Amino acid sequence: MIHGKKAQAISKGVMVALKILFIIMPIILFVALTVGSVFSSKQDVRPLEAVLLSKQILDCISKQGIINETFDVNSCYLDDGVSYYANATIYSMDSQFSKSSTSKANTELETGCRLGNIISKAPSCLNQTSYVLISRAGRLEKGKLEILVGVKKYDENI
Amino acid sequence: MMRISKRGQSGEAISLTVTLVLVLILLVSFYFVIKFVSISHSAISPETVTASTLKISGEESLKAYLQTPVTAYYGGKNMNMTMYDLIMLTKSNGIEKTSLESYSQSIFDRTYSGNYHLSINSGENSIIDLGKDSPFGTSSQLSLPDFNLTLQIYSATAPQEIPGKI
Repeated sequence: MIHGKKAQAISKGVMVALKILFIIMPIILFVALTVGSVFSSKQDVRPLEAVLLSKQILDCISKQGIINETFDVNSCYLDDGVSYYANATIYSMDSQFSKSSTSKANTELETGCRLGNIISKAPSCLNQTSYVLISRAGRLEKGKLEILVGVKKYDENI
Repeated sequence: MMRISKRGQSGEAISLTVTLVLVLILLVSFYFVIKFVSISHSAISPETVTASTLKISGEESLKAYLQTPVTAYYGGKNMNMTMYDLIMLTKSNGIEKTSLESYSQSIFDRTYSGNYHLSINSGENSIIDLGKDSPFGTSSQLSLPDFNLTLQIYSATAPQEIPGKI
């Protein structure tokens, strides 16, 4: 009799443990899958990188909307000549003056930006146009600034 | 005794299975909801990028616009002043409105190929209102003590994101 009751108690305990296990296991699995999928998903952050780079160049070469004719984009960011491409061009509205400044030569990125989707593995590029004033020989000329930036495709930023 | 025990056991097994299935359904649906929400929130849409770019561009354009040197006929003679001064003159007497509109139109037409809407207001009063409003445009605002400037640029023109293949 005593042995029978003991066995019954043990089997009940096993059942309770199994019940708990059946409920806890899916929860653990769920948490692992959810957290895993969020952290392992790859996101293309290059468009945001391009926006930030474009803003950095604009803030660097333009002081409250005024650009000196001797501007240089290479002084605006640390360029390794591989990951990023930047080109800024100013066109005067009052004269024939125009000037272009390009980051360290990266012909691959430049071509990629100019061609866009035509080529595979194209970089993420951004084109921005603003109205600016060009400071030339002590006077201000009305002008247009065009900034073109490109961010190369990498495994790290996608 | 044996019959009751068997029924009890099978009943318990059924309730356990039902609970397990319900928990699984609940978790799977939660998983998909979280996955969907995380994807929709993490994706950087081209619209967001274009809007940010247009906003930055618009703000810079407005800063330069206010400092633009112009020549206006005032008090019987031609005077050199900035666009800011011209706006202030227009605000106070309204006579310079045509000149202000002409200068502003010339600047923004050449920069944004006519795809913009510029409005300058002083409180409830409109000083000038140029171009057309667009539901697809992005607005940049500059608030000064004397007036507010709003420049809306349409995404179809100037700053554009050139999509790249991933």
